[in-house]
Amino acid sequence: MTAAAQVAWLDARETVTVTELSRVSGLTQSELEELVEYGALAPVQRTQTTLVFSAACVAPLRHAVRLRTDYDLDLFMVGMLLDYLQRIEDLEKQVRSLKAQLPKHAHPPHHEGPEPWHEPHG
Amino acid sequence: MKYKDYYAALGVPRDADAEAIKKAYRKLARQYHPDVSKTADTEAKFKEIGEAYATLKDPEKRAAYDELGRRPQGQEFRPPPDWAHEFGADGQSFENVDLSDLFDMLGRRHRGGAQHGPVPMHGRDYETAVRVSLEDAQRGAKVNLNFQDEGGERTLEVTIPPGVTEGQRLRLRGKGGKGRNGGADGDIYLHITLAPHPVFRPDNHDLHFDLALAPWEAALGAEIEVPTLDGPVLLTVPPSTRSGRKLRLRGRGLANGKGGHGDLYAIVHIDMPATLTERERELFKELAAASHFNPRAVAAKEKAS
Repeated sequence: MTAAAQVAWLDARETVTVTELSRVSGLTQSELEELVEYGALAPVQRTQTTLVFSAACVAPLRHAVRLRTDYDLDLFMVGMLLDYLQRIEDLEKQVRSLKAQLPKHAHPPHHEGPEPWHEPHG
Repeated sequence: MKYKDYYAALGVPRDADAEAIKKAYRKLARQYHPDVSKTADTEAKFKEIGEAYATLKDPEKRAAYDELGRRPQGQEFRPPPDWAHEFGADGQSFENVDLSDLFDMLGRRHRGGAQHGPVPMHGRDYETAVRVSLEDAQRGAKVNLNFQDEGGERTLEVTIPPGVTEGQRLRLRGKGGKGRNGGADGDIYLHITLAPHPVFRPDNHDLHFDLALAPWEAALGAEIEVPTLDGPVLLTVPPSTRSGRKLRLRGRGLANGKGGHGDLYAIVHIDMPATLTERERELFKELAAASHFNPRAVAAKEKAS
């Protein structure tokens, strides 16, 4: 296996089969199918034999499953957590994007961030 | 194998019912969860209560645990001989097996039905955050990760491919703990964060930076040398450029790992000299007298209507 093949990008550019998602999340295939029924997981492709998901769901799903174990929660709660975790991630992405577009002087004081680029005057 | 007192870990009596055990566990889990508390001993405590609960919540595992009798915490003991058969490895030594692993394997065997032979176990997965510079995100980089695994401290060199952005997650297949009994090796999950850069602010694969202009550069337009991650380039500032305008340098952002690049945006702000020379003051006065430009005209019109 090449080095590149060993690295999987856990975002929308890659997909995972239900078998692989079961392996990486620790949930059984029937539990994953139950999450699909709840609407918490949406397959990007559904064939007669398998379900295929965006690899973007791997990290929040693993997080939700870890919380399930940590607090002894039921599967329905995993679905709820997955919704919220994905929403938090989307919002964090939006905040980062808006912060990047704000000029430096508009950033709050004491912010650990980049300095502006200054050309010498005239 | 060392004995662990799971009842003491959860602070419940040995005859506590399932509901009381669950309640005690959840209370402690809230207190010691790594998302809540970050100190080293709370992490160990969380692991300890998790291990205790994993056994005590399962009636079969709890019954097997109770079979071991009551012993002092940490006492060396040998599991009953018939457990080797239950464990699925006749004659297999328990020497390098932790008590929690043993109950985990027993649980797997029961779930998996009547199998024979050792139960395949996946290697452990590791999750870790890695902070890389924008330059390394652009070009890719090798980083050393330190892990604490069964064999002690382990350093692993991993390659971050070019094209990662803030918040990117990567899975390094088979780089985690070794699988047992034919189980697959574990994985490493990396959470990438980008170190703050003195000039650029990343937005996915786009980069933003502040470009200060003198009033006359903004008014007349200018060719200005600006920084990019690959070295300075000339940017054409068009005449009458307003403060806040974004000037795009197409394809000068971060590599996206698929052969393309994001864009680079210069966000203009118009700066003023802290003090004006006599000559500058004269010229500005002359400009003020000659110009009919009123930057508040639109606002004034809106106010009037």
